[in-house]
Amino acid sequence: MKKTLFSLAVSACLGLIASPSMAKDEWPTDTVKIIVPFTAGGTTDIFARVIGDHLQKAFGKPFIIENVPGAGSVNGIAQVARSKPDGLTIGIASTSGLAINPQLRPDQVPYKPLKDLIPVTMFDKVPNVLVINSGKLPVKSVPELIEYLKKNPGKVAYGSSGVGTSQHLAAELFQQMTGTKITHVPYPGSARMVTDMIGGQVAMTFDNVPLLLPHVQGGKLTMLATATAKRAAFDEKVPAVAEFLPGFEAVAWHGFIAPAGTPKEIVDRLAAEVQACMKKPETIKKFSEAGAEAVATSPKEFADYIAAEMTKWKAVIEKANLQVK
Amino acid sequence: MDLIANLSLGFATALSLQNLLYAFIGCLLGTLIGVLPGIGPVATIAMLLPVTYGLSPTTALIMLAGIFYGAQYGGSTTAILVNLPGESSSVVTAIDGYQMARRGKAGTALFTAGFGSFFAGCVATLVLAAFAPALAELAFSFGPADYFSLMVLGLVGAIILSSGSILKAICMILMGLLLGLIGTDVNSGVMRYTFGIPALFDGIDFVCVAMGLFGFAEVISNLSLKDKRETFTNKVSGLWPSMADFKRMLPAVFRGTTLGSVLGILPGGGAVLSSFAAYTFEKKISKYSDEFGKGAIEGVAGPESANNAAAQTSFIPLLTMGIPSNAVMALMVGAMTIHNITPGPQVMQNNPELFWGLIASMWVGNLMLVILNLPMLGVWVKLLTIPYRFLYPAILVFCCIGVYSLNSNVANIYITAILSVFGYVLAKLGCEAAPMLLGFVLGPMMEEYFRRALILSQGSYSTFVTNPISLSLLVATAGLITIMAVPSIKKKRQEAFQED
Repeated sequence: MKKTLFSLAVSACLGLIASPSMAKDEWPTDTVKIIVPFTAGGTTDIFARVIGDHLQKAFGKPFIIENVPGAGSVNGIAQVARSKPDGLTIGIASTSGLAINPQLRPDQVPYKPLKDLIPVTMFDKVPNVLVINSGKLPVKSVPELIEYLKKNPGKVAYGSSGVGTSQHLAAELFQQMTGTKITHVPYPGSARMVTDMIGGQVAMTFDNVPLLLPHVQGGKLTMLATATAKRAAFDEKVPAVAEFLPGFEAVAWHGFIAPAGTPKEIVDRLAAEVQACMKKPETIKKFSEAGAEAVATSPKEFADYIAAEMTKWKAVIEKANLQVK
Repeated sequence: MDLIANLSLGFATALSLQNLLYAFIGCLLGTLIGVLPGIGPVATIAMLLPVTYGLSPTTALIMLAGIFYGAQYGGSTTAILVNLPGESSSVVTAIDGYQMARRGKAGTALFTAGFGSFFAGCVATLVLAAFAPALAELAFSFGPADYFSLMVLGLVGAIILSSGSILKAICMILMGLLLGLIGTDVNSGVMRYTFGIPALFDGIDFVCVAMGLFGFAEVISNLSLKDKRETFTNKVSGLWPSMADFKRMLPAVFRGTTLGSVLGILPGGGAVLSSFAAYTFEKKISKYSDEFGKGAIEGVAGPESANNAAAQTSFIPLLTMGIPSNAVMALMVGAMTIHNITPGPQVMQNNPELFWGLIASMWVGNLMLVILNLPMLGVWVKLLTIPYRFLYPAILVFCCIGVYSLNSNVANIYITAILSVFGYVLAKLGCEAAPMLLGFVLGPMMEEYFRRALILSQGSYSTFVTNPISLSLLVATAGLITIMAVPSIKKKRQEAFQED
């Protein structure tokens, strides 16, 4: 009896000493939940599943996806911020959820991106492209477009996939940098907007490549430039807007986040493994097929990037007076 | 030939093992709920929406569509044998079908219903395949003003063609419009009527509304019904009609199919309206009009063909313009949205396998239904003996799991529960929930197009009348309202829906 008590005491002491480092070494101890703030079947969801598969194989524990869509990804991210910081709940966030919405509608976003969340790693950039309906706009290049817009202020309409999306703010940034005035026509999602682009109801848009490319190839729409800093990998012949407007960049990006307080060791291990996944040729291929560019960043790089994006979009939002009260 | 190439793509899709299986499940379920009185296709589709999450969008729509037209078949079976129309669209079938059964011609009546439905289904599939692409092409030239006017026409049509009181229908549509406004405003990003509740930021989920108003509420109202049944199940013999019957039936089938195909396309039209219209029409032109109500074969053939044709052609406005013409189609919008497909003219281009696969599956489904329904009659009728004390709790549990799984949010269950109480009250007050559902879907769309039209016209309201398409649609709407106001037609309308 005495012996058992003694051994219990010893093991308890050992346990006390061992447990903090054990938690880090043996993470994940259980199933890890990845909260995806978008609906199942969308691009982000598919990406999450690709990476989740890799993590599951690498760590030997199940990584499951939970879709918590709504409120422009704010619902899902808020749930990550509320979760226990034990490394068993992580999430995915994008430009709008981290860098745009918290500044566009601060009253309705229940988290502060860099305070309540730890950036883990950014895994992709989805370039937006500048596309026009050439039946409506008699221009063939970005300088011609700017000139035309300057002569016709407020007469040209652009479509976006909604208020506060990277597509919307891309066009706002474009207006601010060129000193032009274009009318904003928001749509709930891109599909209808593309239909109206083809029908000529709206004349120009900044949107993701995969959605627009078939219509550009089919000759119904014309791609003038990409909104990336440099020419995009999918077609080196298409110029970047930045060649005419130095510093112009408006891409959507996605990355992993964890609740604030998650041990640094866990964040680092997770980041390293996601980076490894993003460097695999098959991942790069899968992402490029969906119009995205695979990237691999450290937690620090991601945090800096988010901070830079927040500053950039904050200025655009303030200048255009877009904040929703 | 484009049509043939497209249809072969469709059949290739529809005949894949998985799609065939789900088409079969859909038809089976449809027949089942068609046979069981009380639970309609709207409720069933609403309940199954979340289940389709894991399926590919094509497969999901094939199954849901199967439920819809399967119910048209199943509903007629019970209408004929038990005088219990399982479906509102087979209400008129019960009038003469049941009388035929009483006179020992149950088999003939069932064959007529099955044959009429199948024939109409085949023709409607072709109509859909032939006209939809042209309409979708046209839809690209529709601007926001035109869409707005089209929806006004649709809503006015829905009010006029709804079977109950006009005043109640208007109220229901307005209620739907108001519910639809909850959530984030598309144009400014401002929250409306959300009271700071995060679950309402994106508006009330369509599935919650549909399940609450139809699924839950129907179960509640059915609990208060006691049913008595006189069946002719044992007397089904001699499915094949005599030559004389066949000669009377065939022209009625043709007329019913034509009428149903046309009425199905109209906004606000659909299976119920066309079966009533076909019955009235047959009664008027038949040489045997005195036999109507006592077992006239035309009274079965006409409406049965019409409701099935209409059930299928009502997909045309949805698939080409993205505008639902009735409550079931509004549910289809929900189903497509779940799968990230925005209904509209772009569907045919971006998802040709979905579009043509769905059309081809309708024909395949019709064939399955004939096989399911005629030889297996006995099984279906047996179903009527399942006690509801097992059926209803199962349905409720299923519904709750369904709404929860939409976005893993318990709030959805509460919203559904609140709406179901509301739906029950509406049912007690004799208000139809279908126009409300239509208002809920069309309301936000109308607002969106209305405001978009104004943004593009720089705030000038004249855009609605200077635009030729928009103008003609508004004129048609005004015409419809004027016609309705004429006293004699008002009376006719009341007569037409009296049997309901």
